[in-house]
Amino acid sequence: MTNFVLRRIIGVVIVAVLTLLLLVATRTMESALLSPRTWLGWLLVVIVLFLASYRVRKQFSMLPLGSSAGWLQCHIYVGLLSLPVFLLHSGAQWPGGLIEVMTGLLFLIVFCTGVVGLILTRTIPPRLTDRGEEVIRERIPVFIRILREEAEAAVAGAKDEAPSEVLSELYLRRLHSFFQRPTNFFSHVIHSAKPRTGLLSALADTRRFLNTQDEQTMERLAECVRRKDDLDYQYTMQSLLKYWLFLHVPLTWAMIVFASCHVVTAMAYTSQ
Amino acid sequence: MSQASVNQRSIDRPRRWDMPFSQEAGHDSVLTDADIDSLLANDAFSRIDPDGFKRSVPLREILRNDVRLVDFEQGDVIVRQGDWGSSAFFILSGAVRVELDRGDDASSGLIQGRQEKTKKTLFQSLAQLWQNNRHAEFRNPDAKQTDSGNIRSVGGVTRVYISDVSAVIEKHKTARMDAGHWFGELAALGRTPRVATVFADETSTLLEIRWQGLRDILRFDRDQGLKTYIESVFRERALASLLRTERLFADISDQEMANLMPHCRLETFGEYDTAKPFREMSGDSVDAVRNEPVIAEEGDYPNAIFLIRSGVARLSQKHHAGRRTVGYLNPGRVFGLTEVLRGFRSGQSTAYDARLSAIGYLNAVVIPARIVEDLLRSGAISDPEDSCRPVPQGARGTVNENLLNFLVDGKYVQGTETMVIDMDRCTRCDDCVRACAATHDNNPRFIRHGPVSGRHMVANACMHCLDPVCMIECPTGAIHRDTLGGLVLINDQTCIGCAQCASNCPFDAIRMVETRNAAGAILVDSKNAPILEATKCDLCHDQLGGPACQRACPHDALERVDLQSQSALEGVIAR
Repeated sequence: MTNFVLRRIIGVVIVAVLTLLLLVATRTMESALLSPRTWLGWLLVVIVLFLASYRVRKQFSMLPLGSSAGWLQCHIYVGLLSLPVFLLHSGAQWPGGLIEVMTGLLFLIVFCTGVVGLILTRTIPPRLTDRGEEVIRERIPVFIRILREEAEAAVAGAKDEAPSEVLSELYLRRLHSFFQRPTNFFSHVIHSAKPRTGLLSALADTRRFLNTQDEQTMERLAECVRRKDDLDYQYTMQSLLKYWLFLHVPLTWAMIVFASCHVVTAMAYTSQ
Repeated sequence: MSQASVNQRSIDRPRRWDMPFSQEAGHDSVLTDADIDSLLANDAFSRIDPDGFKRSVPLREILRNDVRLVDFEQGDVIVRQGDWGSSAFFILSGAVRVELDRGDDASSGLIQGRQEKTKKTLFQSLAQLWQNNRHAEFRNPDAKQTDSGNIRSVGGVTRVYISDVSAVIEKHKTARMDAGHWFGELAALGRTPRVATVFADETSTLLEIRWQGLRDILRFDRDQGLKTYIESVFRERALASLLRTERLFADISDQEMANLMPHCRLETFGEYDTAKPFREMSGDSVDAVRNEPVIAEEGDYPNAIFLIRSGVARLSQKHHAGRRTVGYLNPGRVFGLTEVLRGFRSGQSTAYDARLSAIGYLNAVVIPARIVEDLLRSGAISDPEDSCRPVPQGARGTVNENLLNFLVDGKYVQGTETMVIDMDRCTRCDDCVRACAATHDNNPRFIRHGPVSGRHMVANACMHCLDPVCMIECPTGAIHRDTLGGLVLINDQTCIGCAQCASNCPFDAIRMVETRNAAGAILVDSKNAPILEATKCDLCHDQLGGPACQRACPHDALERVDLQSQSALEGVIAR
């Protein structure tokens, strides 16, 4: 059993035990005619602030605040624990009132984006390793430009050769836009090979109209298509690994704003 | 193809002595026949029989091409403690002083142009948030030590000197060496760090010899005078402590140690003829394995054990028509002991389990097997029942064989702080790069990119090599090894931007950058040429908490791994 698997098992067990303890404590308080919702609310506030502090930790990478990996592990399992706390706090009922609805809605969205992010960060990296050359995302447009120039040079042919009309026409119709920028984002998200297969088939279909030399050009073009498609895949997957945070982080801060309003109003009504 | 076109493209095949030592790196003196005659008449060489040398490597040509005469003024620093040695010195006239306060950073720092190692305080660490410069590669021109008067240029060679020799002699413990003495020969032959700083005590003329020349003299000198001298120095100064690092000899009595030492031979294997050995060796990894100098052959009778002093060796075994790497040995490791012990226990003839070959070069102490057996028989050393080969990996270990080949063929096994990234966990978030920038005045000191084997990437970051060839020929000692932690560091204040280190680094881990002032303008010299400086990973030696890159990785993907440690490597692989 690897260290990571063992760590995962321990984390899940701890969350399960804590959830059970919270459930027992809540039921015990309710049977004693005490309301557990207030302290569950405060517990949730502490949890949310702790979860949000991970972002702050990242800004202080120069300070000896423990490893980011350790923080992330805590972030994940405390985040998982936050759901049962939220459900117990809300009584597993949909709240009424704008502030409460927004707070609850944002909490659930942030929780879900967190889970999605966790799944993405655990599933995408091995796929990136398996497919295509390792590239830095910001450098991908440069590599695409190089491929485009290579493909255009192949289609244009050698200095003293007439370019193949079949390939030129196909390039303008199908490949020109393909080589302009990263493409087929959603196809790569769902791991569909349809665009790649389609382009390679279109190229293969021209074979009957080509002489030997043009066939070689077609093979070079096909190779460029494969490499460009691999780059697109890298771009899409690396983008996904970045984009989910654009939802998770800003919505966290929005949730904190609404949660603060909720705390203030709840305290105001409690004190009356 | 016409002869003319062939001539147009052809160049002279590079040869060993195309560039005599006397004309290297700013030196432009040429040894005349009279100089060589004078040297041959000197006591250091007069007893050497020139007829013992190969016709292709005559003694006279060794002196002409591998030797240079260097004049030093009083106070000039000749070698610095911690520098990597690639040449030895013989004092022809004058005298030098050896600094004996070894390991004393504070005192050494005064005369070496090195950086004082201090950690930032908590507030200084935090202040990096707002104090980091907006512009890349900011340097304060006033902080350069070149203006402080302890660096001077002599005929194109930059030299560090001590301005007040008498004060240094008064303050530090030193020893004087007069004409007729060698120094630096052990570091040169073993490519190990200089153990002491040596400076000129008066105006002196020194003979400096490349280690290759020294090696050939030792090899072909029938009289063996110089070899005897060097081995006696090695036995006197270093052998006993080196042998005691091996568990087998750790508890041996002084008397038995004295009996053992005369039988030990100090040997250098392999070819390491330039400062860029790995680049020259690069190419087909299959050929690399085939062409490596064999030290001990698999299946041969184990007539000696090898205690590695410097360099890295490959262990390989025959596998069908080729060879597969099963491990590597680094300094302090022993080869052949398992086989010798097995033979001793069983009383039967045994053979080496694997081939030992030098990756580049290897310096080792060779101990005859019969001596070890005699010591075991007499009870002077005890048979360690649980002994085993130190780094058996690959086919029999937990480390994937392909990964092992990748690490050995790429020479990454040199690394003591190799940045290994598990690409199956890395989300390419670049938190490591941002953390590196945050702790280095907004300048990241590595590139999150590099060669990949399976799911492991060796990123383009300084590995703080066991044998840091980048340090060879640094004229000011700006790139140096931290005497306490073994890190390879660059002192901004004494780096003169010569790029020697960057061109020597086999892994392209050192980048030359154009420096800027506070306004963001590129600093230039009087000829309007940009002021360059060498930069690389310093493992956050001045930061609290260790390497920021590793601490900042949220997914445990990035690790700084000491590839000298089997458990460290396995720890990363078997997660």
